[in-house]
Amino acid sequence: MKQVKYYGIPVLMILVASFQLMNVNDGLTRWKGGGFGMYSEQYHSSRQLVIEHTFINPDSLKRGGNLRKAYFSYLHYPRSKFANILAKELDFKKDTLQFEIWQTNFDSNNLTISKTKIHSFNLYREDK
Amino acid sequence: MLQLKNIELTKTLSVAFLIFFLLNIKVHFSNFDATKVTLFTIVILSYFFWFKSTRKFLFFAVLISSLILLTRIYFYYYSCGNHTFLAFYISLVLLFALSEKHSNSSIKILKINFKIFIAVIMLFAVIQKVSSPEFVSGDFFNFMFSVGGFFEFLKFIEPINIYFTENWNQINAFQKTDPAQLDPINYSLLFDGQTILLKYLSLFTLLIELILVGVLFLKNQLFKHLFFISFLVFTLMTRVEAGFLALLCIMFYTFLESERKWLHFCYTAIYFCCVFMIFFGKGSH
Repeated sequence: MKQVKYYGIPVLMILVASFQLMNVNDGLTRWKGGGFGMYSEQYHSSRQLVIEHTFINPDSLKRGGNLRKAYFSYLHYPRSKFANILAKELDFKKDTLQFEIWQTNFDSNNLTISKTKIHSFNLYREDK
Repeated sequence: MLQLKNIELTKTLSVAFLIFFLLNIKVHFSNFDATKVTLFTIVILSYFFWFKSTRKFLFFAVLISSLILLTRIYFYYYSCGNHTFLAFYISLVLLFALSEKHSNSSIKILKINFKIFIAVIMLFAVIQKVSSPEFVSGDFFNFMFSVGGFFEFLKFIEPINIYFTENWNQINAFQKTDPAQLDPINYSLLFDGQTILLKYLSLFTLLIELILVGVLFLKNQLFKHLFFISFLVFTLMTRVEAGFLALLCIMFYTFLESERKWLHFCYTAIYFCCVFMIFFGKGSH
């Protein structure tokens, strides 16, 4: 029991942080999920979601609502689970939905700010 | 005397943690007013009607905080900031420490856990930064500086404030427009050499985080705590990350064995500076 009190929580911390770090390659933002990657990349507000070529403006989403929660969950970590919730909340009728995430890039050498598509995903009706 | 001091340290850290938690809940749990009021009414009433010792009361209060943090992590796992995870880990350590009857054991639990916590946080922070191309290139720090995200005190100088505001407005508008319909935009530098200076600042940050891990294991109390206090002050000046710094301050204070009163004062001042900022909604938390 003594060992658990001394080292149990640090082990938990390392496991959570390692798990977060592994998921970064799948699109998880470094800012979230307990991996201590804050200030190592652009904040999630520099990401934008486009569904079926329609830009979803976060300002138009009701605070505290399921849609807003699903929107930010998908932006932080683009997984099909959150895409399904978004599709249901937005009530899209099409058989296939295309999800894209764009990110603002800051290029210090050319002094330009641009947008790059960092993620693309197709949600099929049978997935819904 | 030593035992009394150790008991007081555990209680002091618990109270400091609870103040942080209450203020943080004010910011993050604004949609759960009813739950919040009910829970904390129970905690306060329990002190008068149930618990006969401060230690048991603190244990109960920290336990409630821990459960609320766990609930938040469970429901918002991929949206929780790192300070929420850290607050949860600290609450668990405090529970272990408060459950100990012998003060020396509780202080040992705090010191071992917090030492590993800080080392893990800094090492993971370094790994994340090194593996992020936009950090290594200096682009991220340049972006943060250009929009006034770093060194906010510079806003008191009018020409710099104008520069920050113009860039911020430009980027804000850029980020709220359909990305597929946008051409790249240009931005200007505040001074010559800004790009290279901020690239070096990025690398300097990595170096300081690595040095901090080494300093944790130093025996010299004065040097060790001067480094910790300088780290907290410079980080606070660079970016008002009040929530995370308040938690770091609580952990650094645990290692303070020196009788120098001014060191105790410095930690107390930084801690209260952070919690006041959280209370008044300044900075990030």
